[in-house]
Amino acid sequence: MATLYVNDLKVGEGRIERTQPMIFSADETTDVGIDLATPVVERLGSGSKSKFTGIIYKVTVEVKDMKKAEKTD
Amino acid sequence: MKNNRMKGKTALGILGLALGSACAATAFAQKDLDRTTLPIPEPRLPVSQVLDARNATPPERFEVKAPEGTPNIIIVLIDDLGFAGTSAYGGPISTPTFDGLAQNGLFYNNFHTTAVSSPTRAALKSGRNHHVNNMGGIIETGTAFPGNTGQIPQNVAPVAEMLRLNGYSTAAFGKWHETAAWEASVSGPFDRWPTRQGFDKFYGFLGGETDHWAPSIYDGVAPVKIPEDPDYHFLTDMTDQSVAWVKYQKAMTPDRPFFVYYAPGAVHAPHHVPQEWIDRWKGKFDQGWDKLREEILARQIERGLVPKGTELAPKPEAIPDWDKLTADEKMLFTRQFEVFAAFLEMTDHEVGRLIKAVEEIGQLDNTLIFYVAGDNGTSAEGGRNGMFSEMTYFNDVQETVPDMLKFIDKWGSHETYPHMAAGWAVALDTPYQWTKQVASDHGGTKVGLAVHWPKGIKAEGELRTQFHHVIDVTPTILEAIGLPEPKIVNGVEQRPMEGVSMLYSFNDAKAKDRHVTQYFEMFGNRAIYHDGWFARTIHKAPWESKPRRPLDDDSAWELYDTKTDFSLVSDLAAKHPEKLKEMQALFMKEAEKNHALPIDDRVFERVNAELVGRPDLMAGRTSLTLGEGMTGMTENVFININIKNKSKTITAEIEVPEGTVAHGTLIAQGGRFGGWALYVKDGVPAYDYNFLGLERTAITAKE
Repeated sequence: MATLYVNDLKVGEGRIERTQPMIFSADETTDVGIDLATPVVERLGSGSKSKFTGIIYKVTVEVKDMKKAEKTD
Repeated sequence: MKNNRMKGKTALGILGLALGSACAATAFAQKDLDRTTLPIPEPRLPVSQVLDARNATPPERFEVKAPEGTPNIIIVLIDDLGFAGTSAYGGPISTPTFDGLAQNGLFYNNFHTTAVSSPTRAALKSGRNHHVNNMGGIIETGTAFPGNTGQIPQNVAPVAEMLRLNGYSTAAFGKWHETAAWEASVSGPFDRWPTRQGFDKFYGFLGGETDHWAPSIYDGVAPVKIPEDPDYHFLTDMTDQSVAWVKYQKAMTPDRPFFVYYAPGAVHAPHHVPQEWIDRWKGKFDQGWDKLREEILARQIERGLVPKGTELAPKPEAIPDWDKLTADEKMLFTRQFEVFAAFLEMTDHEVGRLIKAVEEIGQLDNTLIFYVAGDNGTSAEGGRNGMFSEMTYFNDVQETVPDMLKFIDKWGSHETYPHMAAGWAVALDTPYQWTKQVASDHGGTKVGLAVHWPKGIKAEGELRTQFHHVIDVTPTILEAIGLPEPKIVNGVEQRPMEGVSMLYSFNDAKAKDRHVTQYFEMFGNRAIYHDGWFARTIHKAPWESKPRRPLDDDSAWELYDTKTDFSLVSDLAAKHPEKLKEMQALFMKEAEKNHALPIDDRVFERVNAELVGRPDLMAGRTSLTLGEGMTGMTENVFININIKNKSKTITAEIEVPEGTVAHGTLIAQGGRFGGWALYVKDGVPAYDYNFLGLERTAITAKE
């Protein structure tokens, strides 16, 4: 399940049927503020087309182990 | 006016005279240099006690130059191409650059690699065995054990560093794949990046493969912004760079030799190539891989590359018979190989552009070129059916033939990340049975080698049969130049090279073999060569998910006499059990000596850093805070949020200036063939998950 919030207000939600257990790519990278090389989101594109127009102060990524129950809902 | 000018001339004239006498003893005598300690230390200079420079004589100027008349060196290293890869070696794909160098120089039919990328590359450039370089496997599978950490030690300084410190200009282009996995970030350390491994110039990619339409490139240690041009292709770019560098270097310093390491990412997957090259190969492989093997062997025998009477080794059981395939399968598989063929032909063409540039500046005669046509056998990692995206293989997802047929017209373009059916890999390793990864078969280790040096090699188009290995290239370079093997480099005592110079064979076809013993080991596939005898055990096929038996089970060893059995078809183990025992004991002795023990066949576990003790920048951390401008983090350094199916929270603090609409990426990982992104499109925030380029899910904000 993926939930989208803006300023702590829930604005969207959806289920991702399948996720990849291993690697995404041997050469593509993680990028802040732009999507380099090939695009994850085709309608956004990659390179300069995908550059964020505002200011990014910070991006925090946190991980936690999934509870087994979540897999069935 | 006249007076002034004359005064000026006179003054200059006197100055000239004074300088002339002062410079009587100029450049430091090169023959007195002790090149066994690198860098060669500068001499200590005495202080002067003379007041006026006009009355003093400057000391000899210290400079390290390469020995007089020394050749330039070029190593071309193709990626994932086996013994029958080139047209000179009987292959069906045209490689005129390779063929031309072989026809005007030498070619070897008994030249071996380690069976896999990083190990071959480290061994090739250091003159030492792969485990001695801590490169028992690819960098992504490093463990805590010496021999397999993936972190090159200080006591095996490579040939680039030796040449650089001896007066050469050095440059590397293309694939590197030798930086320890966790060291490829902004924080380094940079010791194992190309520019600290002896190269003045580096233009290429650090990992094992790259999307050739949209590569991740570094120039030295700085990321390169690739032009946003749909026709951009990395092979053309790296060649343009290498041609420009060579011409510029020679223009500035004609007397200073260069060393170029040109290592294309081709023909490793993804097989990316422009349509006009692909069109040239349409319909050329309809006969299929079984017939193709026979055709290749016939050509090899006809040319004397392979002894008369050599039999085709049986293909592995897992490779289907071509004539039993469905029409759809044949259509897909031939297309895959047509794209691969185009990729190879284009690669050889690009190599040709570099060689042509060297010729244009008058340097071809005195350049020693090694065209190593493969860092290991051809890759069977495409599995039975090939792949539209190689990433499915890494994520244990099977692609079906009907699925792949949807992409048949786009195969090789930006929209695919393809690999080919394994049957073709076996064909390009003819006459052998196995492929890349299988260090215990010549199909995994043997590759074509052309050596070209008109000034130093009298022969034209001659075959050499002496057993050699990638570790022999560096000693050959040193002997050709006339440089000693250094004992100390950068203050560290060096481990003597295991490699043997090939120079003795250059002008003597019948010279007795000098590289008599060689061990082979890769993830448990292991073998030993000694004086023509070859003993081996097949531990795991590339497509098998686990080893066939434990490492201490020696029941499946085979013995061959390579002097009479070129393709390894007559197993003599039952006939000569004492010889086999002797060879097995020799293997253990060589393995121990070269840090190959303990052998680590835990193929899947080794991808997990935590499990095998490989450093992980994100170890113990569950949270990472990033900011603007932080780009280019590869999966080896970025927080592992996909392994073991973890759940993640991404929080972005942003500001949208008054009166503007927010648009663009906040954070993205991966790309067209798999990944996720948090972004805003025309003011609407969203999160997309791209499953292997096959399934896309978008979660968009409502309103």
